[in-house]
Amino acid sequence: MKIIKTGMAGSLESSDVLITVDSNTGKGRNISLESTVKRQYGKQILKVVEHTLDLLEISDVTVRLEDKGALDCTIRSRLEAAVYRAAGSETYPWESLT
Amino acid sequence: MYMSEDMFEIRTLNLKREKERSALEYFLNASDLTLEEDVDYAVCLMDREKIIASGCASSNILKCIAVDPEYQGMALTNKIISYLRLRGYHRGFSSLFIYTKPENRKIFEDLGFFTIALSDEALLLENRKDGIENYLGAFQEESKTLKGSTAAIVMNCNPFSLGHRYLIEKACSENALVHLFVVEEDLSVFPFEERIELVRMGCEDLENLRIHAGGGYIISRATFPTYFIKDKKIVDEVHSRLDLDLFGSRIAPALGITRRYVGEEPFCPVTASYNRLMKSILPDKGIEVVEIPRKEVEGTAVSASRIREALVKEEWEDLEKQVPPATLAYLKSEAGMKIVQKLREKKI
Amino acid sequence: MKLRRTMLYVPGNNAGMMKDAHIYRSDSVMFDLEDSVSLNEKDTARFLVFNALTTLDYEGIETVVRINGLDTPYGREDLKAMVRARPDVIRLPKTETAQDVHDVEAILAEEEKACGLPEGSIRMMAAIEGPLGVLNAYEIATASKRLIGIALGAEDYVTSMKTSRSPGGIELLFARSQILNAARAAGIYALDTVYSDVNNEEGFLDEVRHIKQLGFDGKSVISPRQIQPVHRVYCPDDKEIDHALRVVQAIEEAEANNSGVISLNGKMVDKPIVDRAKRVLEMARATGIRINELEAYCDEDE
Repeated sequence: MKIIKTGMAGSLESSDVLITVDSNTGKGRNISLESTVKRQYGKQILKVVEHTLDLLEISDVTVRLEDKGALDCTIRSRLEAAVYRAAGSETYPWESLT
Repeated sequence: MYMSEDMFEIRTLNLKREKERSALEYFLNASDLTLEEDVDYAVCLMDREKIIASGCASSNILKCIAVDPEYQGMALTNKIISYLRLRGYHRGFSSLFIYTKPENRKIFEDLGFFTIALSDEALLLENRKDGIENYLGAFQEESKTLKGSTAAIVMNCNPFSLGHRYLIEKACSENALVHLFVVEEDLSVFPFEERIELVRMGCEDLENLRIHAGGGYIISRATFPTYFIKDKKIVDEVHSRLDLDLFGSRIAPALGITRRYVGEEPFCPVTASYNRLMKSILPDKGIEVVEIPRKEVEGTAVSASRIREALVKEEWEDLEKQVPPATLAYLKSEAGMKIVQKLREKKI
Repeated sequence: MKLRRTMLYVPGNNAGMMKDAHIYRSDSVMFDLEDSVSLNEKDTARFLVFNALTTLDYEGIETVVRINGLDTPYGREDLKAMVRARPDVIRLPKTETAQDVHDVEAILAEEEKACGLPEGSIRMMAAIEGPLGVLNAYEIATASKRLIGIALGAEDYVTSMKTSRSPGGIELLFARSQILNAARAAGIYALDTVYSDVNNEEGFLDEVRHIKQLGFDGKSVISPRQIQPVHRVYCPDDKEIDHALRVVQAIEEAEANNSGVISLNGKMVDKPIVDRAKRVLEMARATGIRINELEAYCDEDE
């Protein structure tokens, strides 16, 4: 998928994460993480982000995560939603997301 | 957690309804805040029919954010800010600003905002770290390799006159490079796109001049709200200081600016006071303020307000002496006449 | 027999609630994609519920998803996503006619086929939220074999009826009776509407006692605080449990004697009494009563 505009999804409420996705054409993935649990879970969060971007076949992107202790599946949900918004796409391949 | 904050209904207020407006005003007053005139959106958390938290917006500036002391510690600010940030996104704002008191710095920095200007009484934050860098990025390169001094001018150019031209020419002759920032927000009748176009046309020959849109960082509704509340005529020093801090601490160093040129202001009290503060604040940040006396035409200083007056009376001969040919042609065009019409109606 | 005393309502875009929904031990949890989600956030809620269902372990608690109606731009995509996320039950909002049920059923079948699930894997329940739906209750209740129950949604209903909800619930008496009757005639569950004032515990209890007495199987709840009160009201008392135990004992004796006829105190025990006894004991166990002790009690901390 190709990022063509800003996409945002999630919230700053407890157990959630607010994710902002932007284009980063030709410059790879630029991921920044602000988290209340960065020390304990920072690595794991980034792993989930990378894995989700792999599945969505996104290579050039800026991702900003403002995490308030979200579970992996929440991070994944918010990232997927933000990416689809940023790609301007509403055709969701649910099969490949399972 | 499930049981506390989620019991509260989130509700958008209709500020045109007196009942809802006064309920919000009452709530804000209890937190030492006032419902500012330019607020165009308000959202509240309700405990049954009582407002317990609020957040407002004026375009992309968030303000009037408060939580009832009895309900603090429940992360209600998170809920409000979250809501406002998503709304901003859906409304298509690329960035959001918060204008608040310095003691709230930690709260908003924890909610994804970055401090961009700070004075003793006020704090301005933006929801992205790279906002200013992105803004300046395009014209930052040139400054790095430059020999000689760099100056800045901030102007409204409402509309572009020979007075403006005079000041710009002077700065261009005394410096290696001059950055001219045209205030982007519209204070008066001439729309920004046309103001900046007239500046470009009137300054084509000045090779060391770079013309920029002022964006959100130079005398904008965010940095300087009172400037845009025209009828108020009160000069809010708090806002002026914040705007000058942003210029002196962030913009000038990034572009190597060491001088700021400004025209003497005999007319507008807001601008005059802003200029006075400029002279007290900027030198401490290594920026010399150069104040240039107004260009005079037949014994009277050229000013945008004088031009607007002449325009209402359609005194073309007088106008010809005060504005460059491109501006004159524009004023005589269909678009220009529409503005004359507007000026008459508003009696500006 | 599956208990459906409480169905905990979880707004579909609330990550915090989604994570903890099962720990309060309601009989079912219902993730909502409909009214609690603003139009701007339908897409994000769908992703969140989808990933929660495919990833989190709800420890055997029945999962229900309330989709948006097929007359909205979201309903079709909700179904497509949710069939692949496999909740136990899809809840239809604002059901007016049997055709509404047929329409959703057809899409469910199509999507099940598309992703290789056996047809009928996902069950349905229909919420009746308007006067027409109430009048069509039996037709709706019998519209599909997938239906496990019908539910009353009272907020929209009372508005359509030009009234509002009152403590005694007189305005809902007809709708409740009609829905209950239809459900019983169709042999499916009847579930009551939410009580939205979470701070009014007395009012809530009154309503629970009322709908239990009418015969409802349970109630939708909007806060974990409402779960245990419902379970307590539905908990059988000692007398009922004693009687149920004696019925069960009689069954065992009849089986031991190879007798086809079950009798208790010289009277014949027929099927409805046996069913009722089993239900009482199941309900008692589910509420935390230790059946084999003589002095059975409700464990309220459970």
